[in-house]
Amino acid sequence: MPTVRFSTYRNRIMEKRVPFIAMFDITHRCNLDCVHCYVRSDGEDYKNKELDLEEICDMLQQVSKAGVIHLRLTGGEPLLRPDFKEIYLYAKKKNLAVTILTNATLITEDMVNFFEKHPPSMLAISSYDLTAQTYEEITRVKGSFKCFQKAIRLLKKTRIRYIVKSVIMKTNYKEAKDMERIAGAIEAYSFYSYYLVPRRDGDIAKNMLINQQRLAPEEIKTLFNSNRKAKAFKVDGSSRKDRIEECGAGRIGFYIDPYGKFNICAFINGPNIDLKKVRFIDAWKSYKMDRTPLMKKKIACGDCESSFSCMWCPGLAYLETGSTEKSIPYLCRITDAVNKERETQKCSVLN
Amino acid sequence: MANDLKKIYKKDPETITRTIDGELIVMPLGEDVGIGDLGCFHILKNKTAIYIWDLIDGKSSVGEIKQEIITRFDAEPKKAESDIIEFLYNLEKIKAIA
Repeated sequence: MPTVRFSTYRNRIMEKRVPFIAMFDITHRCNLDCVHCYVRSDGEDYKNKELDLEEICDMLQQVSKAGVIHLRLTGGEPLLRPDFKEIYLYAKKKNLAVTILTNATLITEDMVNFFEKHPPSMLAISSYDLTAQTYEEITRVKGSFKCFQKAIRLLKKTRIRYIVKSVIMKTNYKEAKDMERIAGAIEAYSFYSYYLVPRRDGDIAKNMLINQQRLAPEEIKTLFNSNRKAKAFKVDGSSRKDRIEECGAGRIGFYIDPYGKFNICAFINGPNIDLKKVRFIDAWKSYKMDRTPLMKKKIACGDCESSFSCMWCPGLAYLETGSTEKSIPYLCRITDAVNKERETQKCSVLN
Repeated sequence: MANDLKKIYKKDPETITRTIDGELIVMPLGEDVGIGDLGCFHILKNKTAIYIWDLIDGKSSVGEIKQEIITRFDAEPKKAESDIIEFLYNLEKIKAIA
């Protein structure tokens, strides 16, 4: 019976354009108010606009029928929805492998028992630090660290699979220098990013806050020196061209927002297709992204030698500049800083 | 061998399956299906294997499955039996059935 790695199989199904991975934000509301969040939108207006249980289940039924196997339920905080358990159980009933992206602060004993009975493929938990002060400086909700700690304590006693993901910014930068220690303390596989993504809705005031939290190239250099083996600094060897060719957006993956809007990528906010009016399979078939113009060398970054270690992708470019083709100046600066440091170290080893 | 034929298997309810392009993808939850890299899964390409998978219903014994395969595919009984038992053993090993 052949066993294949997803990374091998994805190329095969990408050619055929089979919807395989769905990212579904079931709410953009959140019980935390993280300084760097790129989606949180709170208030009654947003709540009233959200898809209801019946609409979500209808969409899950459609995506499962179309071939989707892996569902990422995310938000905002997905567990904030009072009908979360119903949504989740329906997804399981539709034979979807469900990963839940959560801040974990709403994971109580009851929720742990529920997940033990109906295990998710994975809980991907956001974490910012191991001290209450720093954690709550980021989440801006008093008492949230205690809830986070309690959830981790409860999860440690179970067989529920979870990983921890962190974002490094000004507030937790000093503590984050030793990420392996943090991962060890939580007893989970951990990965982190030092790149803060701008707001999906382009909110200027919130983007200013995000900019203030972004690490300066010098700080990222220091982070690199203390975490050289971290996945965040791994040079994957793929060029910008490779990354465009390998990008699964619209070929195996897609995104649905809490209001039923479909797009091929979570970072591209428009033009969207309203799944309340159009069946999923029709939206999927009609929304194609022509990657040909992106492959040309003439456009920004086209012949950049640093592209092998840069996080640039068309979606991020869209979020940062409004165009899938432009370069991202902040990414250029931080990539250069890390690359120079990498080169310096290579030279000192050779000498 | 006689005991093997009496055995009744049922699918693990947590196992994810999907038919894509005529192939059956089998992904037991116990497998690594982490975020980022979705890990591994198993592919059944052979139509007999896919048919056997469909016959695993928690009610039919291995002997009954064997009989159905012999009738449907005009298979040689001894070969069919050893192939089916080996196939089911592999499915059991990856925790897709119990």
